[in-house]
Amino acid sequence: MKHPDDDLPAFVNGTLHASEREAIQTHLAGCEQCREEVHWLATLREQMQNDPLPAVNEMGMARLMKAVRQEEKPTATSAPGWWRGALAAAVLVVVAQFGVIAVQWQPDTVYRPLGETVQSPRIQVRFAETATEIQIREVLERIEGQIVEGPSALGLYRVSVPDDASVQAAAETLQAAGDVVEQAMVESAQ
Amino acid sequence: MTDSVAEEQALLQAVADGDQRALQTLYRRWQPRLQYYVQSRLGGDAAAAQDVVHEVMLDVWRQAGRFEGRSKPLTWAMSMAHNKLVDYLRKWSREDSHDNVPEPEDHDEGDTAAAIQGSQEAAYLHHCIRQLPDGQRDAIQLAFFDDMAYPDIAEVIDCPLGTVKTRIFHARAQLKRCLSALMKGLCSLDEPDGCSPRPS
Ligand SMILES: [Zn+2]
Repeated sequence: MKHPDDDLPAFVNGTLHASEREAIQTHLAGCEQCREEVHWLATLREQMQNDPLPAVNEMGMARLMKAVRQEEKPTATSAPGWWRGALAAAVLVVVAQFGVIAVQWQPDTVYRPLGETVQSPRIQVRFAETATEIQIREVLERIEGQIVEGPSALGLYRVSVPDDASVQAAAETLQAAGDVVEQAMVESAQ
Repeated sequence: MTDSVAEEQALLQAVADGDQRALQTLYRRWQPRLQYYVQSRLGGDAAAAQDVVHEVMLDVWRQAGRFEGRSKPLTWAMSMAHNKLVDYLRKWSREDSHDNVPEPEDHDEGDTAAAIQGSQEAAYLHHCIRQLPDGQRDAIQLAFFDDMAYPDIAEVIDCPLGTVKTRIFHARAQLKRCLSALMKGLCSLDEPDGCSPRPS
C-alpha cells in the first residue's frame, strides 16, 4: 500500500470514517515512517490545542443582543417601506458607530465633556471578571440601565439610565452588587 | 459530536423563529471559537476580531431561517466568519499576498516532534505557525485546533477539497522546515522573518 500521507491528519484529529481508520491502522502496524509522521502530527495537534480558547465575551453578547433588539423595531412598525428603510439605515449607523466607539473610547476621556451636546449623566462601570452575562443583565435590569459605550481598553463601560435624577442611586445599586460589579461611579458632568 | 450538531440545529431553528435566548446559547457556544479563528487571522487584533464576530452573530440572527442543514451549524457560522474576514482584509487592503509561495522540495527535517514537545519549544511552534501563508495556517488550524474534517474545512475556507489537502500538506512541510531551522540555529525567534518561506 502507498503511504496514506494525505489522510494522516484526519486520522489524528479523529474525523476519518471507521473503515478508512481501520485501513490506516493496518498500514501503521507495518510502516515505521507513517508511525513517526502520526506521532509528529499528534504532537503538533496537542501543542496547538494547548492554546486555550478565549472566554465568552459577555460584553460582545450584550452588544449583539442590543443590536438584535434594535433590529426588531423597524419590522414592528407598520410604516411605509421608505421609512422602514431609513430606520434600518439608522440602526446600521448606530451599530457602526458603536463598533468604532468600542475600539476607540479611551478611559482618559471619561471625565471630559463630550463635545457641545448636553449629555445625560452616565455611570462608569467595571464588571467583575467572573460575572456572567446573565448576572450582568440582571443587575442592569434592576436599574433599567443600558450599556451605551465600551469596553474601553481598560474594560470600562458607560451605562445610561432612563431617569437622570436617579443616576446616583443607580450607581449605588450597581456598586452593591459586589460579585458582579467591581466598580461603578457617576461620571462628573463638567 | 452528533448530539451537539443536532442541538445546534434545533437552536438555529429556534433562532429562525425569533428566539433570542437560543441566539445567546449559540453565542456562548460559538463566540470563543469564532473569536480565536478570526483573531489569529488578524494578527492578534482582538478588537477588530470582536467586530467581525459581532457581524457574524448578527448574520446568524438574520439568516438562521436560510440555514439548509447541508452542513454542520458551526461549519456554517465559521464559513460566514471566513467570508467576513476576507471582506475585512480586502477593505483594509491587508489581503494576503504570499498565499501562493512555491514550496521547496527538500525533506531533511530531523526529529521535529521533539522540537515542539517542551514548553519553551512551544514558542518555536507558535512562531512557525505565524510564518505560514494565511491559506495554509487556516487549514492547519481548522484541522488541528478545531478538529474539523476536510470537507468541513473546505466549506469554511470556500475552496475545493483537494486544495485543503494540498494546503495541509504544504503547511506540514513548512512547519517542519521552520522548526528544524530553529533547532539547528539557522534562524532565531529574534529575527521575525528569518524562518519564513524561502523566496522563489
Ligand atoms: Zn507508510
